[in-house]
Amino acid sequence: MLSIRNLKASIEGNHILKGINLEIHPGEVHAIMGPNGSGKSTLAHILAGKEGYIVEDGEVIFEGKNLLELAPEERAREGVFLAFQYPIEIPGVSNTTFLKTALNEIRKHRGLSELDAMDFLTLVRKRMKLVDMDPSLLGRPVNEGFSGGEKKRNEILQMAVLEPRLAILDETDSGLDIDALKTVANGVNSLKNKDNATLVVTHYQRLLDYLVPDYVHVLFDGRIVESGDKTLALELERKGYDWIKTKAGDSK
Amino acid sequence: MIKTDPESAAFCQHLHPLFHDQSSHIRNFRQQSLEMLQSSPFPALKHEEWKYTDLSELAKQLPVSPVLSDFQNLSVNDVYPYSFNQMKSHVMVFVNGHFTPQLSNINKLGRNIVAENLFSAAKRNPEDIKLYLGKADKKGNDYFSYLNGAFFTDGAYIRIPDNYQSEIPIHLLFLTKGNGELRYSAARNLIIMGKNSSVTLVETYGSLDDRPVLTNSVTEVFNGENSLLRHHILQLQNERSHYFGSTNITIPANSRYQNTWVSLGSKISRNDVDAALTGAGSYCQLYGLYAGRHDQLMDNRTVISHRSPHATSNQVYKGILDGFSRGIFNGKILVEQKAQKTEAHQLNRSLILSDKAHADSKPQLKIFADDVKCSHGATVGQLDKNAMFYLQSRGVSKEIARSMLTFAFANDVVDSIILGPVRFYLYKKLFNRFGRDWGSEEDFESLYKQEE
Amino acid sequence: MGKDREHIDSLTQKEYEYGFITDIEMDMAPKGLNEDIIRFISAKKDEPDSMLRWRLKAYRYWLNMKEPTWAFVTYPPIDYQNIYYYAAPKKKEGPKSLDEVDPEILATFDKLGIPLEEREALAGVAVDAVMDSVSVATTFRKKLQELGIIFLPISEAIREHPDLIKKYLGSVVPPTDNFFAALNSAVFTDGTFVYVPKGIRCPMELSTYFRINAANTGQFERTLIVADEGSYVSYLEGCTAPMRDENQLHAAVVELIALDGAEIKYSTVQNWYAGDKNGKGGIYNFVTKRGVCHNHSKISWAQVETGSAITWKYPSLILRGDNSAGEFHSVALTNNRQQADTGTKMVHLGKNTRSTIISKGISAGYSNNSYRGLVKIGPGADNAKNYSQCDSLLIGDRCGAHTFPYLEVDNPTANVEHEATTSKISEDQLFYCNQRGIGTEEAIGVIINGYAREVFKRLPMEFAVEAQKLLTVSLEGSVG
Ligand SMILES: Nc1ncnc2c1ncn2[C@@H]1O[C@H](COP(=O)(O)OP(=O)(O)OP(=O)(O)O)[C@@H](O)[C@H]1O
Ligand SMILES: [Mg+2]
Repeated sequence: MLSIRNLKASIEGNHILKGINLEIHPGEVHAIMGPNGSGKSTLAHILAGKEGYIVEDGEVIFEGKNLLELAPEERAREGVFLAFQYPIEIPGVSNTTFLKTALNEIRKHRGLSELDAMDFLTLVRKRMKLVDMDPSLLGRPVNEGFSGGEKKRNEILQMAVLEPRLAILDETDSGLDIDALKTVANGVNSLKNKDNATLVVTHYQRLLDYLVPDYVHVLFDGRIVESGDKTLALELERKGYDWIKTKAGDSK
Repeated sequence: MIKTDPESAAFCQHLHPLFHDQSSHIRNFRQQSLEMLQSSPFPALKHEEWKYTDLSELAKQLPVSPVLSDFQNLSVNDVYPYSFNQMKSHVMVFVNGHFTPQLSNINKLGRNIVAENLFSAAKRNPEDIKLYLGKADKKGNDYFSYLNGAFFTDGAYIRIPDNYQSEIPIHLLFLTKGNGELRYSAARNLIIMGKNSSVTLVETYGSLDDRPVLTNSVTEVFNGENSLLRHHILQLQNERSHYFGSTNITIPANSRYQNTWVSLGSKISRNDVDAALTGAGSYCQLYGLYAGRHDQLMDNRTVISHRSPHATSNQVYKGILDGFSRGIFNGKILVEQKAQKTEAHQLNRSLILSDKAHADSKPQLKIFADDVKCSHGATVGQLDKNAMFYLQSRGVSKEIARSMLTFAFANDVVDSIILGPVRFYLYKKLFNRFGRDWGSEEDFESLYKQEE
Repeated sequence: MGKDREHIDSLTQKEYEYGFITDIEMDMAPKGLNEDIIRFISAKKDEPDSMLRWRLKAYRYWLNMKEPTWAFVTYPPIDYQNIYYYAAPKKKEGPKSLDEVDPEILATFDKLGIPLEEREALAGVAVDAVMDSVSVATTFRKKLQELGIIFLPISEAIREHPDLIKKYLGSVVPPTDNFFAALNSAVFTDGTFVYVPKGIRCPMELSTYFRINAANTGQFERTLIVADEGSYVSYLEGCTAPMRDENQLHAAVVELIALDGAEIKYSTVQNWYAGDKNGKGGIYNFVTKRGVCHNHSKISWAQVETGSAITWKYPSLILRGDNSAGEFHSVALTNNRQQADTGTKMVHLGKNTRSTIISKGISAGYSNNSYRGLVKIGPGADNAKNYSQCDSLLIGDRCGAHTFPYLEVDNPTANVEHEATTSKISEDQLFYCNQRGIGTEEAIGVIINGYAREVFKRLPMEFAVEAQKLLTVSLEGSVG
């Protein structure tokens, strides 16, 4: 489904990604862990098409298409979804209008009929239960004045409504209390099927207890320096990143 | 001897007070205003406060005071479009500055509230008129303020008692009716708040036809200690009319005043807001939206004077300029020497949508106290890049994202209006201007109704 | 805070460091201004006829102009007939080297620390020192000549390079531009001319120290810098003046022209006598500075203004060429009764033009400090960008800080952003410093210099050091 080959990228002259290789197949859950500043969000942003990054080398193929050539909205319509680490506030745009517009654009692209306001609201209400979101948030402007946790739930709500093929969750767990963490993880799990895939970026093993990964990768200094199964996450939790750093240093 | 400015004198030759003033206070006030008016020059581009607003075309016309027939044969249907879908409110309707009780609805007001026309109040409450008339209007040297003072044809007098809290807003509706000439419509309003009270006041300026009218209103607001006044002003006149309105507010200790100004109408409009924070703990919030198209000119001038320590003010004015329109923001924050611990912020943002539109911004800080936190910002330019990306990353096309964000840019100000029906009315107007790229009006309505 | 009050007092009572008077014989025109005086000046300067006509035209225009009143400054009316318009050190012959320069003048420069001697010259500074309107020494002229760079007193340039003068003098600031520019055009006595030929990078900072020295002498400098295509030049202007009781008028005009691909840096440290603590005396500094940028060119203004009783000064740029860029970095400090109304104008006419404005105002004592700026984006200036930041710092509760920006945008693709803040020195920052063992006075110095750092960074090294010193000296202990 997604294949990243030797991806090198920089921003404002700083080399951040230094050769990323990653294969994701339908039905899989991948977790990326790594110390602060190692380039996790950068990778996520590049996959979603944020401007400002310069891809210097490598390629990203998504469902047979060269992802890097597509505009951000085209990627979204193809099924790439990024739950942002720091979701932006958009004053004046209500959650409902925003989400309805997005959904209909994606549906159009998939050859489905557009939903009218009533059908849309019915769908959204159903999905809100999934993430246990306060219905009053729906009428408010996108993320404006939302608490950290509310923003994260809102991201997952959008994901639940838009039904992406590849969901990238950038530290969706940070800022969530324990109950919310479970709810969000359950939400993600219930959306999982054999055709879609999930890439979670996280610092904590806790999320992975609920959202069990098939693969765990460690990103360090712009490279994936270690991959394994879910036990790798446990090992990291126990030992920290130092041994990875040493190992990465040795292999250089 | 008063030196008379010939252009000034010529401009008002067909103006006169509609009725003979019974009240000596009003008579005196008119006389003073007239004298000041005659010595004030007619506004021109060379005057700093009129730097971007060219009135030379207007100067060639002669406004004419209303006549009695203007007010006859009007029915409730005529004012329905401005009822915000029959929002529950106490309404006073003025046509060309003249109070029309048959269209108004102020019977159910509480016992201690007074809401009547200024001329009746002058009979019943002469002391108040003496005490308040012209006292919040401290803008020396302003032509249109004096013009109103000399020739206003009535206005609203609202007196809110102490300890009064009401959910039901008071709506002052100023409508214009034209004829062949440039009709002059001038109301003079006094709003006097008691202590510990809380009220929402809506002022709407609209047109009953598409003929040109020169509206020239002055509202003086005396907020009460520890009170909250929400004041929403909508300028929705037809695009052949002119609007010169000023709102002058004094905000005493611990009182809060919030003003939202939304301007969509008139060929030339000038909105003057002059607020003085006179007591500790006072708070003033000004929101403004001016959305111009065609050849509209929208001029906004605000002055916030911090005269007391420990007061806070905040201003957000936004302009969206399309077509050949011009939008002006001229805002001043003045902090007097004794006004220590002031916090004052001001923001003006404009979007230009066409290559023939203009935006001028003149945010000013004049500060004489040192222990203050003051800031202003002004931007003219594009929509927020990060917001654009967020929308696109959810599958929304660039064009639609732009239209959504333009609509949102405006909504932000409308959101500060506390009354759902008024908000909805404005959302719809703005949606029709900016949001049409991304949905039908029906869809829009059903979505927003859900939210209200 | 009693101790701090003392600091303020000790500061405000501090004598002007550079206040001393040089005694040299003067060669003067009588007081007052009329056509004869202008003829006298022109004759003294041995000017061509066309120059005299140019001056007289400016003078006649000036007679019908009104002194501007819009700035936020007040001063008693200036009697233009009570000013000497020409004063020159008597000279037998123009000095050819330092040895020929009046030793007393050299001593004065010594006290000021002007790097006029060889060792400073070796440090890379070519000094064209101006004392009361006539340049007395020029170093390094020869080396510059080899590169084709012209660096001359303007009066010599008028004689020696009439074509360049004719082409460029008044082309950016026409004599009719404003009251003070017209006056300057009529009576300017000296100043500097710089021409950098195509593709040449001027290898050293060019520097002129101005000094006002004679009682009741108006100083009317005229500076003209032309950077031809693809060239580069950095020019420093520094000023100190001796103490005087009567106010002295200074109305300079500076014109910069950056042709295609050229770059000009213009830095100023202005520390003229500001008057005593009661506002007696001090320089009136009414200056017109403006530059024009052609395609792909760039002009940067950097200024540190701590002197003068009144400053009225708006170094401006007209970004006429496509892809041209302008910068304005300013620190303006006022104390006692000083008044400063200063800022910039950025007029964007070409496509993809960019400008940045960073202004840091510091007010203390009873002073008033205003930023006044204009950013104008013309209809043809597609994708123009401007960013302005104007911060004001208040020290004590009897001064004022004011910000008057004007933004005029006539193009939908433009991006203009203005931010301004006004506050006092942060108590939190002071406390933080105190907590780390730094005394209040020192902490203020640290904070002020941090506050102005962005501007200092733009100054050439030796200037930055002097400027930093100036700020600290002017503000020691000023916290209320
Ligand atoms: N605009 C930028 N300019 C310069 N450097 C940047 C920019 N954006 C990000 N970086 C740098 O790129 C590196 C990677 O940042 P990134 O946000 O991808 O890290 P991360 O792995 O997501 O960290 P965290 O765990 O803290 O979220 C960091 O060193 C960061 O400072
Ligand atoms: Mg991150």
